[in-house]
Amino acid sequence: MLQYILLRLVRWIPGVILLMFIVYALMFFGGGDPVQIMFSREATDLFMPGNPRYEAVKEQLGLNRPFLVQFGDYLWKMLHGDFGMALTDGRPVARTLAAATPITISIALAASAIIAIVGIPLGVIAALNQNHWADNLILGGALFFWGIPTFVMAPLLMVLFCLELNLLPVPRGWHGVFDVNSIIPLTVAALRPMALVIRQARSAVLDVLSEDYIRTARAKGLPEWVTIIKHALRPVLTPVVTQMGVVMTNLLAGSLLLEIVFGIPGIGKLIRDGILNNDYSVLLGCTFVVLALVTLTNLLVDITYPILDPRLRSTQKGAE
Amino acid sequence: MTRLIQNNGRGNIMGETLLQVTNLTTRFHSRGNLIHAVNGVSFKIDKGETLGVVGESGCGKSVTMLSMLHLLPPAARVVAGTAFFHDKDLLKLNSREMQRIRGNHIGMIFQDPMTSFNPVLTIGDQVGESLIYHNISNRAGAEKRVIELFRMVGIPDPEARLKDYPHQFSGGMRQRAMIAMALACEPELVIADEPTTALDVTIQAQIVEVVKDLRDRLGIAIIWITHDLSLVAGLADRIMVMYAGNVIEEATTEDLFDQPTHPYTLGLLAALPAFQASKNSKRLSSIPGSPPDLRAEPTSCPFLPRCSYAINRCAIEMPLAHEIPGNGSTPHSVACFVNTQERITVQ
Ligand SMILES: Nc1ncnc2c1ncn2[C@@H]1O[C@H](COP(=O)(O)OP(=O)(O)O)[C@@H](O)[C@H]1O
Ligand SMILES: [Mg+2]
Repeated sequence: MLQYILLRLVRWIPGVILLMFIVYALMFFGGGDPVQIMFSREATDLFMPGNPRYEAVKEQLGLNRPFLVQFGDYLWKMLHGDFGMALTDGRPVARTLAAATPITISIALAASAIIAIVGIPLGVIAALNQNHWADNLILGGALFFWGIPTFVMAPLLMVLFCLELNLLPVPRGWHGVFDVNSIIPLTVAALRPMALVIRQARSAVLDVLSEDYIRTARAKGLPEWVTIIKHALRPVLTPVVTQMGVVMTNLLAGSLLLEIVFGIPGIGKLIRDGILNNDYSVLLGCTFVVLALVTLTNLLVDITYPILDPRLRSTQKGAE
Repeated sequence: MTRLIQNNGRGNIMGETLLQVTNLTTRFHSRGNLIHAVNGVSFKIDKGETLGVVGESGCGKSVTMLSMLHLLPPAARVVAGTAFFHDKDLLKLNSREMQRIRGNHIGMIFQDPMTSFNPVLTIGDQVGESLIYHNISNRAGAEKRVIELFRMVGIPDPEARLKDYPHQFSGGMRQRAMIAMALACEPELVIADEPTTALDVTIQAQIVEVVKDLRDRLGIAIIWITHDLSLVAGLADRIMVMYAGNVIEEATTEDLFDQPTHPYTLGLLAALPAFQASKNSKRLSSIPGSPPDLRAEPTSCPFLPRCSYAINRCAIEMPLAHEIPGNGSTPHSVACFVNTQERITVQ
C-alpha cells in the first residue's frame, strides 16, 4: 500500500511541473511587468523601463535571467517551502497560503460531510421508493436546487433567513465551521453537489437492486432489511465514494464564487485578488495548493477502493 | 415406480405430493405491452422426486419458478393459479411467511454462479447466513456447517476457502458453493435453474454428479431446469416440456424418450446427437423458426407456425393437456390434437 501511494506521488510530479510551467509561462509572457506591478502605487514614471532604478530592481530580483532559469529557480525554492513574495503587498506567499488553505479545506470537508450524511440516505430512500411520492419529492427537490446557480442561491438564502425571517446574522468573513455565520455559506456550498450525490446514490442502489445476487439473497429467505443493508448498500459505496471524490475536488478547486460572495478569505478569494492585481507569485502558489489538494483527494479515493471492493485487493489466490 | 426403485432405491420416500401447482399464470407489463410469460402451468412433484423442466430459452421456465417463490421482477404479476407446498398455497403467503419458506424449505440454485454471489461478501458468509436468519444456528455454528457443506459438495480446503470472495473461486467451485448455499438449511425441495448452463462441459458433468449424489443421500426433491434434454435424461424421474409459457408434454423420463409425442418434443429429441438416427417418424435436425411473440393472448396452438404436423383445428383452438396411454407409473400427458405416433387426430 505504501509503495502504491509513493508510486502515485511520483507519477503526480511531472503533471504538477507541467501545469506550473504553463501558469508560469502565461504570467511571464502575458501577465505584465512585475516591477511595474510592484511599484504601481508609487511614482510610476520612476519605474519605467530604461530608468536606472527600474533596471536595478529588475537585476536585483533576477528578472533579467532567461525564462527557464527563472522557472527552475522558482521550483527549487518552492521545494523548500519558499513561494516568493507577493508582488502587491510584499508578504511571503507561503504565509498567505498557510492562512487561506485551511479555510478552503474546512469548507470543503464540512460541505462534503453534510452532502454525505444527508445526500446518500436521501438517494437510498428515493431508490427504495422508486417512482412513489418520496422518490419524486427527493428527485424533484434535487433537480430544483441543482438548477439554481450559487450567485443566485446565496443572496436568496441571505434575504430569506437574515432579512425576512431574521433567524441568522448576515454572514461575513470566516469564523470557523461551527460558527452561525457559516450556516448559509455551507448550505450554499452543499446544495448543488448534493443533488448530484442524491442522483448518483439513487441510481447506484437501483442498479444493485436489479443484480442477480440480490435475488439470491431473497431466495435464501433473508429479511428484507438484511438484503438491503448487507447485500445492497455495501456494493453501492464504491460508485458513491467516486462521486464524493468528484464533489470534494470541485469544492476545493471551485471555491472562487462562494468565497467572493461571502467574503471568505480562502484560496478562491486569493485567486481572485491575484488575478485582479496581476500578482503572479500568489497565483502560482494558489495553483500549486489546489493541485496538491485535488491530488490528495484522488489519492484518498483510490486508497478506499480496495477497502470497499475485495476484487481490487492484490492478493489473488489461485483458482482450481 | 418399479423402475425408480431398481434404479436408485429412492422409491420408498416417493408418492407423497410435495408441491402441486395448478393453472399458474404470470404476466409482465412491459412498455405498454402485456407479455403472457406463463399461461396456466400445472405440475406436481413428489417428495424426493426429480423433475426435469425442459424448453428453449424464453419459454417461461424461470418465470414459473420465480412466481412460486415471489421472486419476480417488479414488472411481473401472478394473475391466477395455486401452488400448494404441503398444505400451504405459496401464492397466497404474505412476505414474512414466504421468507420463512425460501431458503429454509425450498432452496434455489441459479444459473450464473458469478453474478449470483455478492462480490463484496465472503463465500462462507453468503453460504451460511441463511442458517442465522432462519434461526437454525448462531454465527459459529453456521461456520461449522459451511465447512461441512463445502466438504459435501467437494470444495477442497474448506476452512481456508470460507474466507474467500467469489472472484477467488473458479466457475465450477462457485457453482458448488451455490449448491452448498441451497442445501444449508436442509430444504425438502431444491429448484435448480439451469445450474450448469454457464459452465463448460467437463465441469457440467461434475456438477450433475454432485447433485445426484447429494439427492440420493439426502432424499431432497429437485426441479432441474435446462434447455438440454440429454442433461436431464440421466437425472430426472419425470420430465416436463414447456413451450411459450405452457406445459406441452409431461411423462416419466423413460416414457418421454420411448414415446415422445408432441411435435416440439420430437424436435428437441431430434436435435440431440444421440437421437439423430431415432426411430420416430419425422426427423428434424433442429426446429425451424423461433418461439412465438408472447404479447398476444394465445388462442391457437403456440407451436403452430413451426409445426409440420399441424391440422386445421390447431389454428382455431388451443390444445389442452390430455392423457395418453403410457407405460410409466405416472400419466403421460400431451397438449396436442395430433397423435404423432400414428398421425391420426384424437377425439
Ligand atoms: N424482466 C422481464 N420483462 C419482460 N418480460 C420478461 C422479463 N423476464 C421474462 N420475460 C418474459 O417471460 C418469458 C419467459 O422468460 P423465462 O421464464 O425467463 O424463460 P426461460 O424459459 O428461458 O427461463 C420471456 O420470453 C419474456 O418474454
Ligand atoms: Mg431461465
